Amino acid sequence: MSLGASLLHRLAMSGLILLLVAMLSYWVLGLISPNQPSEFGLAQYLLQVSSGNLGQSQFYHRPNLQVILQALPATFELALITCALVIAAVLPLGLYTAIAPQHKLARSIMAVSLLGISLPVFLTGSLMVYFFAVELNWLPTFGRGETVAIGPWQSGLLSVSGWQHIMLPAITLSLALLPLFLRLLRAELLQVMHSNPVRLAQAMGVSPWRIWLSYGLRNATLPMITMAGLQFGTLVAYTIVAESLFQWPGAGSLFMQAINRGDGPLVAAYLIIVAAIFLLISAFTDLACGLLNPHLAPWHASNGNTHGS
Amino acid sequence: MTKPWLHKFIVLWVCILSPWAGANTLRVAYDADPVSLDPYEQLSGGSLQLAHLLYDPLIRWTTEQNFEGRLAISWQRLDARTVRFNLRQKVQFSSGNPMTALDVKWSLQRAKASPDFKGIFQPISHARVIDAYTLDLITEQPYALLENLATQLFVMDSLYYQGFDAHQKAKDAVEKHGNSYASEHASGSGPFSVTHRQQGTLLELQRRSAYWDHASNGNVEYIKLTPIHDSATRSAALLAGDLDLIAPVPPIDHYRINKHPDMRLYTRTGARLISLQMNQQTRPELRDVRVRQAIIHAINNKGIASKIMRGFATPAGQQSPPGYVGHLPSLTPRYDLALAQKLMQQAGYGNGFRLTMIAPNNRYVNDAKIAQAVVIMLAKINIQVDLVTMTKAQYWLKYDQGRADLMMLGWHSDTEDSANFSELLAMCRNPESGYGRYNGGHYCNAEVDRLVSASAKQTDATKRAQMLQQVEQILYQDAAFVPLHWQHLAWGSSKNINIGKVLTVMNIPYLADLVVSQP
Repeated sequence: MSLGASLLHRLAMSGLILLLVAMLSYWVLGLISPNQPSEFGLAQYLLQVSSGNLGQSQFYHRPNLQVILQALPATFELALITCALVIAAVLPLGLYTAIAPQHKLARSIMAVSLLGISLPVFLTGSLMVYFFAVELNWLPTFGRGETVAIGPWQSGLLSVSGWQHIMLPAITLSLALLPLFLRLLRAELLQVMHSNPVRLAQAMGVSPWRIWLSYGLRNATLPMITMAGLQFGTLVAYTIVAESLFQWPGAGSLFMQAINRGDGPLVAAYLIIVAAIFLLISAFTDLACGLLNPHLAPWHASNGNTHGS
Repeated sequence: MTKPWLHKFIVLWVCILSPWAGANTLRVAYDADPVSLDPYEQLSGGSLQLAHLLYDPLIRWTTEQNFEGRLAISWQRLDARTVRFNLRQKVQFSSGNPMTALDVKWSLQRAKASPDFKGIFQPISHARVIDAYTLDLITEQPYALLENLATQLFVMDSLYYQGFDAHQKAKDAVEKHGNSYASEHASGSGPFSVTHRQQGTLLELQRRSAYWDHASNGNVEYIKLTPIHDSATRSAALLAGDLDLIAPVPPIDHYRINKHPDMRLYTRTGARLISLQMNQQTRPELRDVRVRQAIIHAINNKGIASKIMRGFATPAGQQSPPGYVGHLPSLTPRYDLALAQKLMQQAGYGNGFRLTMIAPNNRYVNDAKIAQAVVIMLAKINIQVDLVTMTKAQYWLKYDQGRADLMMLGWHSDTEDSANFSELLAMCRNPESGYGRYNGGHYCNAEVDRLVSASAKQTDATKRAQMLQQVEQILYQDAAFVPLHWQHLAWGSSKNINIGKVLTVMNIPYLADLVVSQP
């Protein structure tokens, strides 16, 4: 399959998925706001959505797209800092636990990470608030702090108070996401280290650091990126919880409030927008994987037969 | 070139925010955001709390439940149907326009055109302007509670709302859940004006230097109001020192805030009745008074108040809370399971039947838990209850349609008077007059209607109280509804704030009069 055809195929699939999500949204809309006019049919709704009109919020009295776009910077910044924290923590921890898998510290890191997977976000979040905000009084409990407008983008990353406010929700979220990546990285590294090329390199006397970084990490990158793409959905779900807990004025808490207020059009629009972002992210991860390892790319010559059939 | 602009931004921002640092800023969090800046759009506690900050009523309730002149300096009854108000002079709206009797007359007309408020102002037929600072309010019939109504008459700037907005809509339009001009723009004579509003996230108010009330010792310059829906987050933010004042405080956090050395918990008995309506229209069984009595006797509302509400509620046997004119001390809670079972057998329903029930899950304190407890209690008299709980946004539509056999309803008297309960919850349903508007049980008793209507015209306080007490007695005997409890009120604050000094029994804090002591 050529690059062009592959893109086209992808686009068609995405369109189909969006259509299904839009139908689901319509159903949700009727469920949450039962007092919608009955003549407002599915076909009309789909037509309206496909023309880019996501309707109007019943609470804000403004177009849903505008309401959600206004809340997205807060969510985006939270997700960004969360990712940065995960990456900053996962690389050294992953390397360490793979290099010295039997060491006591490495074992306790893995044990704690198991705890991270099993604790629900609202519990970790509540504990964080209790220790770092209420008891130690180091960090604020809610909100974004001061924001600075850069054009339409309200950024909280340009003020001290903004950084203070983002820490607790970002750490909470990264604690929930970290264990999965840590375990994956460790497993990949351990596997690579026992492969023949690495053994050969070791026998040839290549420095251990060079082996870890350029053989180990590079080979682990691909599954990590795939995992990152897949975990985006989890991140979206977790931000809803974390944003509600920390009163973070982002799209996730907006969604929760919309449900509580029975603002059906806003809930429906959120579902469609999140689905669109999800598709975009997954397209990017596939593209990145394809570039990193051409053998996996659907447009690679040797993959043509299997994929097209 | 990266650093300098960033630096500039920060410096600029610090400059903008520096006024906050010195002056008294009150950081407040409630569970929800006021829906609108328009005092006549939505009849709710949140709207009233905000209205007292941005606007002034003619008179208001003091914390001791007396009347106190605000925009009216004095008033006297001219005859059975007329009360004359002398208005305060030199009062300025935040737009700069002066306040006169014409604004009061215009505001009354606007209130009478509002779907939520027309029922409340129904008794007033019109206002008569005598001169710029004198005005008569005239009722259709002799009416005892005109002062109570005047506490709800917030005066808006009539000149400011003239003409049309950018959408070619009249600026003075009252639109429920619509984006009317008045819902986003406020010009009142109140102690504060809006400096910033991001709906659902933040509302910032600043004290007006031109405010007329110089006698007030209040020292709050700025108010930052953040809605925090999650009650645990609200409490944690107070305990962490990120907020100065929160409400409501869930019963589970009372102890922690109370024992904290830097915090203060303020609680008081409240007047909001939580009840269950027994729908006689959907179920013939519920038309039998013995069945209704059996349901009331089967529900252990004392247990609900002590266990589910953790003592943060007073179990009720009637509508009127203690202190109201209609309250009869002899009407106490009636839990008696054996009697309930006997009544069911007498009515021929010893084997029971099935009922549907709906309740909100985010409106009243522990609403869903109370509903679940009721289900278990009614199972003991063989009534199987199918319960559905939902958010308040969906609930009121279902309630209005009368979609279930048992429905939860909380009510706080709009006039701080017993009659309001009966007018809306117990009188026969009448779409034209608006009486019985929330009577979800479709209970109807001509004697109750007669007594309540007569009480409105009775200006002799003792006779009036007797009438309203008689109404309570009849509702008790007829088992018109299931009284559960009166919800208490709780506010949490830092130690240097004593909210009790400025809080009315309607749960409205006069934040303009709040004195924050310096630590």
